[in-house]
Amino acid sequence: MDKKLPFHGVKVLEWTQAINGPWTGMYFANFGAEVIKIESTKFPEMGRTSSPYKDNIPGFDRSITFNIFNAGKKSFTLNLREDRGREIFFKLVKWSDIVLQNQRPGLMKKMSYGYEDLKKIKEDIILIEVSIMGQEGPMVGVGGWGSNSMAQSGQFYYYRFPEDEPSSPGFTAVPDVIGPIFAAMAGIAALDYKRRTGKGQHLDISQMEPLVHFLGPAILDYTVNGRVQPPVGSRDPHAAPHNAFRCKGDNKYCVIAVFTDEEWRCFCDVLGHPDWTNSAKFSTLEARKQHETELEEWVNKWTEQFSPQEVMTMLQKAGVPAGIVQNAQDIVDFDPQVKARNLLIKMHHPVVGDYLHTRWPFILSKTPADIQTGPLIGEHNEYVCTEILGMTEEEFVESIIHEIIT
Amino acid sequence: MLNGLRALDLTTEMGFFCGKVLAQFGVDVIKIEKPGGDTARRFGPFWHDEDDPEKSLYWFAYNESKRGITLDIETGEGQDILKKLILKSDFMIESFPVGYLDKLGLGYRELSKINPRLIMTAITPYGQTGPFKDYKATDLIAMAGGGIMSLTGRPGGLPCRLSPDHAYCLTGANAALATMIAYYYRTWSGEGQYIDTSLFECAVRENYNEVPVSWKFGRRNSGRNGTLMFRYNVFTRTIWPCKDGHVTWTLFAGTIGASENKNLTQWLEEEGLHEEIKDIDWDKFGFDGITQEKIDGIERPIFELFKRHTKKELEEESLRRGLRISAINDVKDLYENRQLYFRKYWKTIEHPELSEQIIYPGQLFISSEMNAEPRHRGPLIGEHNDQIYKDELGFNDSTLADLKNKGVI
Repeated sequence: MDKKLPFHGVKVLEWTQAINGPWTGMYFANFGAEVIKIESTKFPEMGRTSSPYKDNIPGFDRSITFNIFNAGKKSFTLNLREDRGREIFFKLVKWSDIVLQNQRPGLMKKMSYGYEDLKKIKEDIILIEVSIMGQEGPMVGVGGWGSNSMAQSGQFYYYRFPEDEPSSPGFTAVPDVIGPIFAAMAGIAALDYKRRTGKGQHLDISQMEPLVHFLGPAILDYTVNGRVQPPVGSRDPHAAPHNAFRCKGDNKYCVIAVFTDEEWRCFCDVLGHPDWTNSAKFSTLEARKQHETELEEWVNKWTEQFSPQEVMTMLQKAGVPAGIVQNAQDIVDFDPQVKARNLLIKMHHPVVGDYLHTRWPFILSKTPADIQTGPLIGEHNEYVCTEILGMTEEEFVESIIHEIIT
Repeated sequence: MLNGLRALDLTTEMGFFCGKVLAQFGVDVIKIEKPGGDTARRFGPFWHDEDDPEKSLYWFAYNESKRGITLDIETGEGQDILKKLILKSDFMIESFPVGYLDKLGLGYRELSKINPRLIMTAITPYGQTGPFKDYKATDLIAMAGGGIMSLTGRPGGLPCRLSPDHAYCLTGANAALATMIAYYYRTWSGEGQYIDTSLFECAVRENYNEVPVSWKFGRRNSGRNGTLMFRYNVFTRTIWPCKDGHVTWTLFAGTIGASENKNLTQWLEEEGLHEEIKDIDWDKFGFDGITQEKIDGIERPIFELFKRHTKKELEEESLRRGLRISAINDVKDLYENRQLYFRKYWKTIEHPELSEQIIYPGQLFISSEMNAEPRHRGPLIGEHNDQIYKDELGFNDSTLADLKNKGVI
């Protein structure tokens, strides 16, 4: 593939931590941009100190998840608080098209690295600042992490069956996946805007704002009808049967979603039209919703005989949406679609060794992503100093000694 | 924002969100529905519960800022019309089954010959290739396949999908991003291309902590822990009941944890609840080797404290005292949220046919130069037929009447 990638020639400077910021930068890094991540061995970012580590031994280059969130970037350790470090930072700003950050809201401004400060250095700089709720405001407070974002944005409220309390999906911070998608789009629109007008801009992206759009119908149900739409768990107001159903084995479930009359007919065909399916209680969607608990008991009696794979295959072949409630092992080791689509790609990191990485879930026919592994900490110090900043070798070594490159 | 661009949107509910996002970025998105309108117009909630295809709040929410025409692409005339429209379009978004458009002579191979700059975004349940390519998937099926469902729900309870139609929105957002990446490529190369994305793959990518890391390196499948999280070999609570609902707060160690926990202890003292934890040195506190008993002892008074207060009170105190408590907002709480209000988030959109204005979610982000707000309401059925067919394509009234009679539009 010798086609140049979409962001060929685009330069991104990021000072990011954890997931929200780094994930945003990865889209640019994996589609051709040169992305330099500013780091520090004195104040390593969370990604560098998160387990699991290679062989369970901590180390800045031994964290596997760092590579999941920073694939394809360059690493430059810089002391941002020291005068000559600041000089270097501003030189890099001049070099960049985009500056990206997700430090605590207000921090960069306090350090005189805010938009107005950067604009003085480079008039058309694009500054992308990502956070849970925005850079300023009455509730920005001391910040938060994934669960704060899921709570604030209205997500957690729905993560439950109606009779239960809300539940957390383990460590998965859903907004840290969704926020970056919108931040990257905003960045691309800004690059395009600059191409047309010559102007840069300041982007303040709050995870909350796009996430509320995910709840669009429920929001309108409130603003129009005054109703607070309750959680329905794995059921759905427009379908029945629609839920997770028990299968053979421990903690094994399938999912079935019957929306149309046609799908109900096909579903009954697969079951062999047992007597219960002929009852008026189940003949229309409305009737099935009215008797949903009883319906689900009957369906469970059927699914319990089979593995989730068997249920999925039988129903899908008959045109009924059905699937498996998969865990990580199912997806990584067994799922045939994952394998056929090369969704998990083999990567190699000099310290971590071989590992799997989930590629982006979209394939561009002419310019597919080019995903490289994450950098060792400070791996590109010499490159940045000599190639980008034009330092001599002596100047580079001096910078290390004076702890500017650190 | 994005300037002078047009998208043809031939999606069903699994793909609505893509065009909606692009429309909010300034693209002229034209929703193409079969005559009579999308089936999803029958999904509630409805405006004042009036079950009407032009009063579906579900449909309006996910198709806001688009224009709309009707067209039956299974007819020869319909296919010709689509090709005419493709000439003037930058993007085409579709969510048809694999191979459907090819069979109609409207696949990427054909359409890119007509317009080499076209960017075609195909959204399917499982992708254009693979053993499941002809399978059907809805939001539930995708979220189950992706793995997050196995992590969500009460311990010992059923697996729970996330917010309603979460996979549709997630995939729509991913598709919009992919479309914009392809667009940026085109700005300097002049070339369009084809984008293949799916509900299932987006759901798997969202499950970043488990796949592949947790399984491959931790050799474990995390289970459903409900309101708790399993960390450092103990369960810590992350979702807490309060007087009028729930909040989230999590016990941390380290420097951030230390300052927060000291502030929290201070508050517990003021409420006479700090007996069990007053002797803990938070600067030294760590999770290494900690017992469940110790954790429970710390969380007991906090549980009691939270139960005494409402969501609003807990948030106020949290801000005042430097804590990280967040209310678990329902849509009413969201609407009253001070931060969204400060950001001037809520947008009033005209619905003249309903004789009212409706309040919608607003900007996707704030920019010093660009406007990322919703533009206008989604279309009524065939609302822009005249504008597109007469004004742009130059059909006269009798041609239009003819097409309508034949069911082409």
